[in-house]
Amino acid sequence: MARHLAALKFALLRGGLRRGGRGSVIALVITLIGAVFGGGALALSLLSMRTILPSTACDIAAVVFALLAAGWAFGPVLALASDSTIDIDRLALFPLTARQLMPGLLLSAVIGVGGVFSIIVLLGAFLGMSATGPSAVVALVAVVLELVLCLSLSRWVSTSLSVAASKRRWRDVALFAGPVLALAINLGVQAANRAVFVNDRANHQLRTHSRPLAIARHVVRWLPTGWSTVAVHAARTGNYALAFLGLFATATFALGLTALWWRAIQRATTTTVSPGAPHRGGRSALIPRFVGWLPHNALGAIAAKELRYTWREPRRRAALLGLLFAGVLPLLVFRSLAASNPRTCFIAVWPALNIGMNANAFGFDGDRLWVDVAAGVSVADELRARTLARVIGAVPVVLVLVAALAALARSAAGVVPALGAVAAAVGMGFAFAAILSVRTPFPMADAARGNAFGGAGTGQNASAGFAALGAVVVSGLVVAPLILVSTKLPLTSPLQTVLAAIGVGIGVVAWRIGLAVATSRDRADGAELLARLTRA
Amino acid sequence: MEAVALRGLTKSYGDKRAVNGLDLDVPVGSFFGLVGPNGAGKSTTLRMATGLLRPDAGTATVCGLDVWADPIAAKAQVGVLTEDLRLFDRLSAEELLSYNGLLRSMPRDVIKQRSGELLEVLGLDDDRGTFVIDFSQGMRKKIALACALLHAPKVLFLDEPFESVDPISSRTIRTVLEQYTEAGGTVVFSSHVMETVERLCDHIGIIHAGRLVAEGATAKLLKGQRLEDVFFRVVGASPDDDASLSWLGTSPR
Repeated sequence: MARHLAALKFALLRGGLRRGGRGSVIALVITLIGAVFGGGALALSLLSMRTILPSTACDIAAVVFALLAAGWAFGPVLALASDSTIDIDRLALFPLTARQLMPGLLLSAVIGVGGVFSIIVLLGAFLGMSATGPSAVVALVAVVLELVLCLSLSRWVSTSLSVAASKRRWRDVALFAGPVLALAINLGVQAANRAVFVNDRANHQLRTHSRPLAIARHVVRWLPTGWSTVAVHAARTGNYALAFLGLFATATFALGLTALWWRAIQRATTTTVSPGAPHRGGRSALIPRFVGWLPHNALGAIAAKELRYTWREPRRRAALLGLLFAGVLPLLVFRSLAASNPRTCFIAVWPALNIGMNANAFGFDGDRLWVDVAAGVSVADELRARTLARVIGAVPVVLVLVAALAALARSAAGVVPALGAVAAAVGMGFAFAAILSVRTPFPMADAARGNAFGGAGTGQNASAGFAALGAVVVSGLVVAPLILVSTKLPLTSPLQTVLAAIGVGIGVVAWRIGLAVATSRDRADGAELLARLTRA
Repeated sequence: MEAVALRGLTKSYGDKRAVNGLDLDVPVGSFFGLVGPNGAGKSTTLRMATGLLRPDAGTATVCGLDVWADPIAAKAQVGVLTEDLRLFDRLSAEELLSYNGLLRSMPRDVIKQRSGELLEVLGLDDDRGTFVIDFSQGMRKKIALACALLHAPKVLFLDEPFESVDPISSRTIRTVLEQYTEAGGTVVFSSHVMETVERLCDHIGIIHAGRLVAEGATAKLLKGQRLEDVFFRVVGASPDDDASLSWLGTSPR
């Protein structure tokens, strides 16, 4: 059975690549190369642990294992449409027991970029931690158990979130809560890092390495992901009882996760997603009151629908939270710097670059776009409306960030130049987003059923990610001269206002060029765009 | 003038030709049923006739307007209900109707008045504030039909409007459609349910392998026979084509 499921996974990957086209193949190859090189570099670093104290080596391995597990648990949740594991629903009708099914599902879960990366890293950890003799055996068992633990954890989180409850509304809550939890952890890590950095600097000590390791020693190795490293260390010091206990505990934990995963699978395959108590929004107009000024036509309708979906679709709500996170993070990281320099308002350019960059603007609609196409809405109007919704929904985040940075600096002198650069960055982002959204769209999985983190085709998410990253880099290169020139001028110079106006101009012109390029290849009626979203 | 005129419509997916030079005329005010086996090209034809799928060749005109040369004007005459019912279902019923009306630049008061009437007639009045995602399949069909009717189109294209619908909803939909044709509207719908097509339609077309293989006024086409018998004769299949598979029903090993 395991062989069949592994073969099925390969067939699904091949099928996904065929659907995704050449771009997806290239993206997958690049991602794979990245995984091999990235994993290889990390593995070599871990291999070099052989030259340091065994206890320190095991502490480093514990941190790596914890990060690896966190990546497996929250990766699919944060990177939507990236989970290409076998859809359990399709296997529901086969008379298969857990014992028959689970090894195959675990094996198929490891087939992919994440699996390649993890195996390389774990191989490095194995070679780095182990000595000769019995400790090598313990280290080998430890890394195998870590892989099983990561896979079980990942599958359990994804399956549980996808079938969090048989009620649709609980499912929505779960789909929102997952990314929120991941962001909260990320924020916590950033805050901890900053605390470490500040404390070390304050003490004038070079402890940037030693302090995290101290935290690791006391906390991370006692997490379930660190128990196996405790076992390896114990084996190296001849404490085989503790080594056995560590491995046993890790195996038990991994088995427990597998059991939880199996229960989640059973729930997924034996319960249907029902609406539960229907959501009654009351008698409401489509266009929310706070944007009552929107035109009462196709442009206003689509913008209003996008705004409503931003809050009502759990994954979009989580994405909005991600944007807020991107806005808050600079405040946290550069708080002390901002207090002394009004030019730190330019930090807002980074979230501004990301706000515009919605490289798959039609992904959540998917083939629902037929409603608009049947009504004769042009692709250009679709893009205008979605951009308008983005301006209303997300740009205030950047503006608030600029204001907050200015307040920290106790000077508004940096606001005008920063706003110019922000406008240029947002406009560039919108331009690239328009082009990518029309040329390489792909539908996101339906949040209401099945694997909500699944994608349409192998590599499509990676392909879109690379394209968006490239676009952010190009946008950054365009905006950078504005910032450079501004920093050379006194903040009180009237030329700062001229520069800001140039920034706004760049943003507007870039957006118009992006719109023209996006709509230049196809006919205006949206049939080609709909075909891409339906076929993909 | 015909309500719908399709000429030489052709569409291929890779090597497979889904629709192969299809010609079809639908008279104004008719209730036209399109039947055919799975994969015959019914849905593809309807999508090409409504401006959702660009044909490889051929033309589609609605009320004399070329769907692909003059899409805005042609689409204003058309209401569509697709088979898969993919709607913006995190909007409430009322919001979805408002959305459809605004897409077509209808005045707000007209949208409000027509939405109220449609929701009442279709039995959705109590659910106007409910998200469409929480609707049953029958309710989804009805709200989709309401969206298709809101702008008072001259031609309605409905893909499998009675599939997965309970008898009560089915009857409501049927009544609304009959009212619509009595008022001069034209309905083109595809279905697998022969009895429904036979009972409702005054014109029937049979599609097989991407071609229209039989078409005409219902009485003339059927000549007193059942549609099912005519269908099997025309598409060349026999209901008794199940001679093999003798192992079915035996115990699994």
